[in-house]
Formats: sequence, C-alpha cells, structure tokens
Amino acid sequence: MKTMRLFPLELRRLLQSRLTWLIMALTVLSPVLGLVLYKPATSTTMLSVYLANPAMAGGVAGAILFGLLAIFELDRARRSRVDILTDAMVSPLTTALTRLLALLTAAVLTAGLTMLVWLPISAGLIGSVFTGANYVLAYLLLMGLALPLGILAAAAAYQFTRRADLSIVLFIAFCALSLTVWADDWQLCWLNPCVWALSDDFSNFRVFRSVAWMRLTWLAALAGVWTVSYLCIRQYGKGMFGSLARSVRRIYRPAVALALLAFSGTAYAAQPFIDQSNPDLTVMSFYEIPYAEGVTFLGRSAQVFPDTAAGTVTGRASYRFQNTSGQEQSISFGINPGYAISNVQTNGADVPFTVSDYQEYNEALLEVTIPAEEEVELTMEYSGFPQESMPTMQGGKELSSEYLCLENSTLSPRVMNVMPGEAGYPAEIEITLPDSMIAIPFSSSEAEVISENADGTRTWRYEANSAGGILYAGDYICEQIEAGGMTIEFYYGRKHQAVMEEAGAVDAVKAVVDYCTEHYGTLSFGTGETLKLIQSRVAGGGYAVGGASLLDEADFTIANLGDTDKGVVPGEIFIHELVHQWWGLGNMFDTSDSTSPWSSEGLTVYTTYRIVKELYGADYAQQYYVDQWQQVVDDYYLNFYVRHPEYLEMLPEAERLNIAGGLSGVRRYNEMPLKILKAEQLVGGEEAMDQILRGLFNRELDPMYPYLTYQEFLDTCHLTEEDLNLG
Amino acid sequence: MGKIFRYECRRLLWNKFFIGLAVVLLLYGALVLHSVTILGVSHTAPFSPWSFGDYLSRMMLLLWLGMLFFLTFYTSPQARRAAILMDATPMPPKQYALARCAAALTGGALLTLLCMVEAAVFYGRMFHWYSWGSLLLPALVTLLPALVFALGSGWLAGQIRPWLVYVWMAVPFLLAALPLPEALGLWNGSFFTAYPLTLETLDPAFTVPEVVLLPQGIALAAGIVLLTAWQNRYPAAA
Amino acid sequence: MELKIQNVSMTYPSGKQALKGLNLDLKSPSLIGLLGPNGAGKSTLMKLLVAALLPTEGSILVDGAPLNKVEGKLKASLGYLPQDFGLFEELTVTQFLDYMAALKGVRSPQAAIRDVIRAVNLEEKARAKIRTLSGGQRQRVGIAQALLGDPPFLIFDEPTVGLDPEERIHFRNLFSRTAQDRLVLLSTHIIEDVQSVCDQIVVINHGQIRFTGTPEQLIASAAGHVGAFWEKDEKQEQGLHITARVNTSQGVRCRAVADQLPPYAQAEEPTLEDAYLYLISREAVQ
Repeated sequence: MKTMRLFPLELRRLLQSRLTWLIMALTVLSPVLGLVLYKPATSTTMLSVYLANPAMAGGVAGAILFGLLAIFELDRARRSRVDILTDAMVSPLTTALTRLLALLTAAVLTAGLTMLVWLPISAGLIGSVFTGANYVLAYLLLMGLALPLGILAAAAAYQFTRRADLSIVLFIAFCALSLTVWADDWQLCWLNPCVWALSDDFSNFRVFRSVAWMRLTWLAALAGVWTVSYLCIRQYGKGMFGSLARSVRRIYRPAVALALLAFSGTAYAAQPFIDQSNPDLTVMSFYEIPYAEGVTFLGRSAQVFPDTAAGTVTGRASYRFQNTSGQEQSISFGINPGYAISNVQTNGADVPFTVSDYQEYNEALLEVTIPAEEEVELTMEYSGFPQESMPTMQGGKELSSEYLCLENSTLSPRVMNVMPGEAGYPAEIEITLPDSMIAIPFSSSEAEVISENADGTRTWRYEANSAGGILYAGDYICEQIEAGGMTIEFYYGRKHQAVMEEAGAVDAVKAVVDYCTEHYGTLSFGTGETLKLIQSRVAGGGYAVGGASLLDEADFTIANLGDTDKGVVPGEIFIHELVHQWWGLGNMFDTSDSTSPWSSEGLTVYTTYRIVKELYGADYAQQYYVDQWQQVVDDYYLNFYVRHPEYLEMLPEAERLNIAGGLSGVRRYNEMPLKILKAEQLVGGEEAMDQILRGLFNRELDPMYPYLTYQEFLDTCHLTEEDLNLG
Repeated sequence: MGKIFRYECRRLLWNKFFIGLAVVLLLYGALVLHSVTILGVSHTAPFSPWSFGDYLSRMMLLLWLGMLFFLTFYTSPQARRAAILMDATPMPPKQYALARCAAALTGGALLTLLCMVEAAVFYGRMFHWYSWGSLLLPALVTLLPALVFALGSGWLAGQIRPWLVYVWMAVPFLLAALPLPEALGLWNGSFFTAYPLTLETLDPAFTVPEVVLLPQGIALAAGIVLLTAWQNRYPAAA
Repeated sequence: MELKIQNVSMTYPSGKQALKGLNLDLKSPSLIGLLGPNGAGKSTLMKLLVAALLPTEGSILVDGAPLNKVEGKLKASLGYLPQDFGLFEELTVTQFLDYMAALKGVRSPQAAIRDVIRAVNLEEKARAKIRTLSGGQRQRVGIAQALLGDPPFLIFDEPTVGLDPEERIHFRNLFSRTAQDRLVLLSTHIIEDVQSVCDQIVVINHGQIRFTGTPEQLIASAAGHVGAFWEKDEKQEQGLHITARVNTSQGVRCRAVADQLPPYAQAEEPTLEDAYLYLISREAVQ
C-alpha cells in the first residue's frame, strides 16, 4: 500500500528531471535510426523498411537509454545521499519497487508518445499498405516491450552490485550479447527480435506471436532476476547475502521470484514455433528410406480445418494402399513437427505408431505398420501449431484469416516410402476456410467450393497428384488476363490492389506475356491453357511448378517498383519481375557464378528494355536503359578492384564476397545487358536476336543440366566472349 | 606548467570516459573501414590519400565530439567550483589555460592517432600496404584545422555558457547534412569523393586546390586566435 | 603585509548591491575575525580581496599599490579557502596538493605537501582518491591547499564547517599559530572560534562595516544591555532579543539583549555572542 501511495510522488519526481525528458525525447526520436543506420529486417517490403526497422531500432535504443536512466536514477539517491533520509522513513525495498514502477510508467508513456509521433510518419512512408493493427503490434512488441526489459535488467544489475559503473558495464555487455552472439537465436536476442520481414499485403500474426513469446519469456526471466536482486537490496548494514537472508523471510517474495524464473524456463523450453530439424542441410535421410516392399499407393484424401484465429490446423487424412507382399509393412510419413497424431487406424482397427524425435527439413517421421492385407485403408487425425525450421526467417507458416500456406506435410502427412500406383499419387483435398479466403492449389488444379457452411466458412475441394502438395489461401483478388494465347490467373492480395493498379499490373502482365510468348514462346510450366501467377507472402523468393508460378510480394512493393536500377517507372519493374517467368532462376538459369556476368538478370533486363522500347519509344529506352547501363559500366571499369583484382584476392573471404557481390551486381544488371545489346548489333539487329532467343528458349533440354549457359548463347550467336568486350 | 599539463592529461585521459570514447571510436572506425573505405572513393585504392581522407572526414564527427567532451572537464559545474581555488593562485590565467588546452589537444591527438593506427592496421591486414607516409598530408589538412578550431571555438562557447559546448558538438553533424560549397568540401568529406573525379586521371596524386586550403587556413588561424585571445580575459569576470 | 580597502562598493550585474562604501585596513601580523549574518557581504569582500571580483567603486591597495596592478604578487602570497569549492575527484590528496603547489609555484613541493598534510591530520588519506573522502576530510584538503607554501596572507571562509569539535579546536590552534607572523582573515558563524583566536573583529551587515576593534571592545559595547529573567508571561519577551531560553525545574530562564533592559531583567556580564547579537539586533530595530 505504501508503494502505491509513494508511486505518484516518485513518478512526479522522475518526470521533473530534465534527464528523464532527454531520455524520453531521444527514445521518441530513435526509430529514425531504423531508417538510416540499423536495419535488422533485410526484406524490402514497405512494412519491413518503414515499420519493423524503425520499431526495432527504437526498441534497441529505448531499452539501452531507459536502462541507463534506471541506473542513474537508482544511483542518484546514493550519490546525493538522500538514501540516508529516505531509508530512515521508508524501507529501501519499498523505495526500489516504487522507483521501478515509476520508471516503467515513464517507459509506457514514452512508448505511447513514440507511437503517436511516428503514426503519421509511418503512414506516409508506408502508403496504401499501412494498417493500424500492424502499426500498433509492431511498436508494442518490437519497441514497447524492449523498454521494460532494459529497465529490469539494468535495475537488477544495480541492485546486485550497488555500483553505477559496474552496472553500466554489465548492462551494456548484456545488450551487446543480444546484438552480437545471440542475434540469430530468436529466443535469446531479448533486445533485437529476429524479424527479417513483415508482410505488406498479408497478415504478420505468426511473426508477432513469436516476438511476443520471446518478449514474455524474457519479461518473466528479468522480472525474476529483478526480484532476486530486490531481495538483495542492502538493509540493516548487511551485505548482499545477509540482506538476502533477511528479505526471504517473507516467503512470498522468493516464491514470486522462483515462479517467474520457472515460468520463463518453461516458456523457453516449450516454445511452439521452431522445430528441432537437423541443421545440416546436406543430410536427407528421410528420402533414403527404402520403399515398402510390395506396397503401392492407391489414393489419399484429407479434410483440413485450419483455425485461423489460433493459427493451428486440425485434419483427417485417409490413405489407401495395395499390399501385395503378404506381410505387415512399415509405412513412413513425414509430418510437421508441431503436429500431434491420433486415432491411427487401418481398416477400422487401431494400430500402433511412432513419431521420431529426429527431425529433418521441417518434418518428423511417423511410422505405422500396416497389416498383411491386400487392400489397406489407413486413417489418422492430426492437429497442432505448424512449426518452422528457420528461426531467422520466420513467418513462412503464417496462418490467419488473411493468408495461409500449407506445404506438403503441413497440409497432411505425406507418404515417404510407398511406390506410386498406376494413377500416381492421386489425392483429394478438402479444406474449410473463412468465406473471405480463396483456396489456390499451387498446381494446375482448380479448387471449387463444395459447401457454404453456417459458421461463415466455405469448404473447398481440389484434386491433385502428388504425395505432398502446396496450398495457398488468402484474401486474394484474381484477375483473369487473356494473353499469349492462354488465360493468366493473376492472384494478388487485396491490400495490394492500389499499388498494382498504380503500377498498371494487368496491362504489364498482358504486355509481357504477349511480348514474350510472341518473341520467345509459351512458358514451359504453363499447362497450355492457364497459368496461375500467385503473389505470395514475403518468403525470400519465388518459384514455379507446372501451371503455377509464385511471385514474392517483396518484388512488388511500392519501394521496389520505384527502384530506378531495375526500371524507371513502376510498371517497368513489374515488367522486369514478370520477364523472369521466361528468363528466371530455376527454370532457365542456374544459380549464377559471381565471377560471370551471365545470369537470369542479363536477359531479363535486356528483354525489359525491349518491351519498354516497344511501349514508350526508342529515345526513352535509350535514355533510361542503355545510357544508364553505359554510365554504370564505365564506372565499373574504373573501379579499383576491377583494375587491380589482385587486391580483391588479398581480402578476407567475407569482405571479398561482399565487394565481389556488388561488382557482380553491376556485371549482371548492366554489363550483360550491354553485351547482349552489342550481340544484337553483331547478329544483325533485333529481329535476328529475337530469333536466337526464341531458339534458345525452346531448345531441347539436357535433363542433366537443363540451364542455359553463356557459351550456348555465344555459340548460337556465332560469337566469342571477346566479340562482346565493351572496352 | 609541465606538471599542470601532466596532471591535466592524467585527468582527461586516465578515466573511464576516455577509454569508452576510444572504444566507440575504434568500433566506428572499424565500421567505416570495413563498409566504406574498403571500397575506395572516386575509383582510387582504399589506401589512397583520397580514401584515407574520406575515412578521416567521417571520423572527424567523433573526434570533434571527443575534443569538446574534453572541454567539458573544464566547464562542468564541479570544475567551475574547483576553479575558485585555481583562480586564487598566482599562475597566470593564460599559461594555465594553455596547459589545459594542450592537454585537451593531446587527448584529441591521441584519439586521432588511434584512428590512424586503426587504419594502418586495416591497410596492413587487408592489403599488406605499409606506405603510411603518403597519408600524413591528408590527415594534416583535414584534421588539424578542424580540431584546433573545435578547441578554440569550444573553449569560447564554454566561457560564454557551459551548455553551449554540448550544442557545439552538433556542428559537424549539421555540416555533414548540409550541401556545402566546394570550398568547404573538407568539412563534410565531399572534397575527397568529388575532387579526384575532376582531375580526369586515374589514381591522381593528392593535391588540394587553394580555394579549399583557404578555409582550412582560416579555421586554423581562427582556432589559434580564439584559444589565445580568450585566455587573456580577466578570470574574475568568468 | 598591509591591505587598505578604500570606499569599496560592489554591485552585481543583477543589480544587487553587496558592499557599500567599505573602508578597512588590514595589517599583519593579525588574525581578524569577519562576522556578519548570511548575505551581509562577507564572501563578496573575500572575493574582492583574492581578485576574483573587481569592485564597481573604490580601490583596494596591497602594500600601497592598487590590487589590479599587483594581482600576481597578491596571489603569490595568498592562501584561500572559499566557503564553497570543488576538488578534482579523480586525483589523490597528494596529487591534488601537488597540482595546487604547481599552480602556486611552491618550491620543493614534496616537503610542503608533507607538512600541510601533517598539519591537517590527513596522513592516512594522503594516497586516497578525493572522491572517497568524507565532507570533513574534503574540508581539510581545502585548508591544506590554502596553507601550501606558507603564504603570508590567508583567507578562510567558514573553515571549520563539517569538522568535529576536536578537529575544530585543532584548527583554531593552527590558525592562531599561523597568525603569529601573518595576516589571517577568518570568516565564520561560530562566535566561539572568533573569541578564542582573533585579536580583531570586523562585523559587516547589509554591505557595510558595523564594527571594527578587538573582541573586548565589542563585548564592552554591550555592557548594560544584556539581562536575564524568569519568564512568567510570553509578553515579557516583547521588545527584547532573546539569545537563550533554558527550561529548568524552577521555570524558564531567558537571556536577552536590548537597548533598554526591562525592570524584571537582571543585568548580566555580556559575552561576545551577546555583543554581536546586540549589534545586529540594534541595527534591525533601527
């Protein structure tokens, strides 16, 4: 009670200090560091750049500043010897608790003030994809909760040591640990959460949940440590242990400390987000399990019920096998490590099963023994919170009413060691989703609504033919575009509508598909009639399968669409990214060798230039493409490391790779397009080059190495590398 | 004089603040060297006088800050209370101030040396390059006028109002943000990135045009004048 | 050494007039006690004497020469302990005194430092950092630096603040010994200190000198104006300046000073404190 009575007095005293206001002002300003200096979120989405980074920078700076303020405030009483007066009237324990509450209140005020100040700035910078929920959650979790952590850690350090200098050193070391050694450990980096990206167009609940979990784990841990330090506050002229022995006599005090520490330990150990997959990515033991003898796959059906509020999945899966071996056989399934398996039955009878502790590539191994019967129907139920494998790139398993992506064993357990039957791996998947979501199988299959349910959900069904399979669902807009003799189903997030319209996305898709189909040919992974272009939640890149191609939302952010390296006007960036469907990594190009200018970018930039030339005229294309390439390439040839590669070789690997990466970017984005342009002139003009490229695009593929090489390009042009030298 | 200088050096340099400042300076230096200087400026080598000058002009932000922090040892409320005792001694105020300025300048020189040694180690480790002699001229031209001016103007600011020293710390940051004319290119580092390109030759030798040297000379002279002139001031009026 | 203060006035830039037309002669050897209530102008006078301030009117002569002409000479022969001063916390006691010795130009500083450290009883703390010293120990460092180099002119502003009674007596004796061949100006609120050691007293109030002379002369000026009585009614105190009130088993015994003692008061022998209070209270009445 005394604490509550003293609290307003202490808070008023704290807020009368000019230092407090200086710390508050610096904290309010500190998000600016995230715009210019400290950018832990590496993705280029608008929310990563203009929300996550400023909020995290504010959190780091604010926690450090408030930690230092806590030490200064706790030391001030000792320094000015006011403690002699106050300790005579109030227990030092009460004073410490009151000071902590006042500091925490100042931190809350500061966080609120920061949110108010940065609201219009963030909204202005982020543009049409700004939402209040993302803003509040980002500032609350990425910044706000860092402040009490800083205060608790610093105050605990002071209460243990009773020396300001030592406390500052300990506190700064604790911060440095988080910023360096623990930076990639999502549970330990208490100061700087492991957030690499926030999605602009879809929800971020998984990332926010993970940060909240980490913050609460640390909040409990540091509150526990603070409580122990509180018990060590020196009293009656005793030392640390003497005071501790006296303070623990009130048993609830150590009980609270222990409860907080135990809670934190449990939260640390029982985190539901990240699995325990083997970090050695070269090990693929699940793919080496021998096929079950005499067992073939007949069919699979699954009913999947995502809970978009809780982020969990419940499902029932049924598998039909033909067992001609006449013996029991062990069937292996890959399951998401976050799932629990139950009710495993074969032909209506319960059978035992095991789930391995060992995990690999985000899967655990479920093993079920099927009976020695010819036709076996195996059913099982699964449910849980899908886990991810990469703690530094969380968010891939986002599951909300705005977006979900269920891949392979996260959709339903996938068979690992059964040979396909005559029909392959036929599957019938049903998924029940909120009515705002559209189900999009990542294949040529089409999902259809089979029932509208009373609870505002819809059940979708689609057929596929694979042991796994990927399903996207979300609040998508679908544009049907007739181009290149086929129907393009272009799916993008509803929140991105304004950006896509401004970028002229539909026109760009049509222009690119028409141009590329006409000049180079039909896409190999299109089914001939339809091609799905799906904008995914930020994932670090896109990929394609038969009938569908994924576009990472990060490639279509407002900022990226304004990046003049790739094109001049937003629509041109869109064109660039779409041209990658023809000249893309994985489907036409191998991972590029950093020493060679040859990569997917050269032909893509060149083709973009050609399309722009057709759309906006030769002068425009010359000014904004060719002249710019030339200027960058001129600079490149003058670069010190290009002129003296021996110095580049001298550098340590990290520095060398960094510089080489920058130079390689110039070669790929600027030098190669210029070389292709020169080749165009040498082979007789645009038409001749188009013929060559068409031939290359439709060439017969070598299944061992299906990628287009520089040599192939040169040979087809009847040119040598030297012919294309620009010097 | 010698003893006062030694004690002032001890006060300024043998404390946690100086060690902390040195650590921050080294960390920032490493950041600049590894992220900017290593690329070289204006197509020159990372160890060219131009790249080194660019490194120093970036470090000047912290050196200026450090120099003015040293002055706060003389302008803090505690120091002003101690000054009552010092003012009653027969030591001429000019000499006393000179000894203190020399100590502050020594601190600045030590920090500068630290930056330069860090760069030298970086050049040696990264490029096996040890011809440090060629870097002295850019160091002298960039840092000496700026730091002497920082000391002189900071000393004056501290005499007027102690808090002005803290305000004065923001000056180089302001200069870095402002589009300065070519003649003041050394004050925001733009000289090292822009001037070599105008020489129209690859890896040009280090030269400074008169138009850039002039402000440096003025700054150096102004620093010296401020240091000497304001120490003639009757101490009682302070 | 001789200091002549001639018609000195001091008005601060804020407009506050601290001293008005002050005239005073100080001649060694002598230990002069400077008395006066808070804000009377004592510290301003001392700052003028150490050339920390310049008078707005009048002049100060040091051995016949204007102070601003011989400031260096004055400071070379001055030891000064201000009321409020700072020390370099990061230095040890010896290092700080060595620093001050260098500023004062003391020859053979090591011996001088040893002597003053012994004189102020700080041998045990000689190597301690100043930041670790208590308030009384810091005060002793302040006195030590003033004594450094045996200056012929010493100014102590409240030198015994923060010292325990034993230490106070020690320093009183030290000042007395020091004053045998020097000019010492001692400003204090502790009348007992002045009475014990000073051969002359200067009383300042409202920026003007109210008394100069020996302690005996000051005491004599209060004769017949000090009385004591048993208090029966609070009204008895009216028009009197009560200097002591003692609760005894017989009742409350009051001691008072006044221009005209009431008939119920019994005349008493004045002390220096009575005389000082009589002087100040008389001025307040006027």
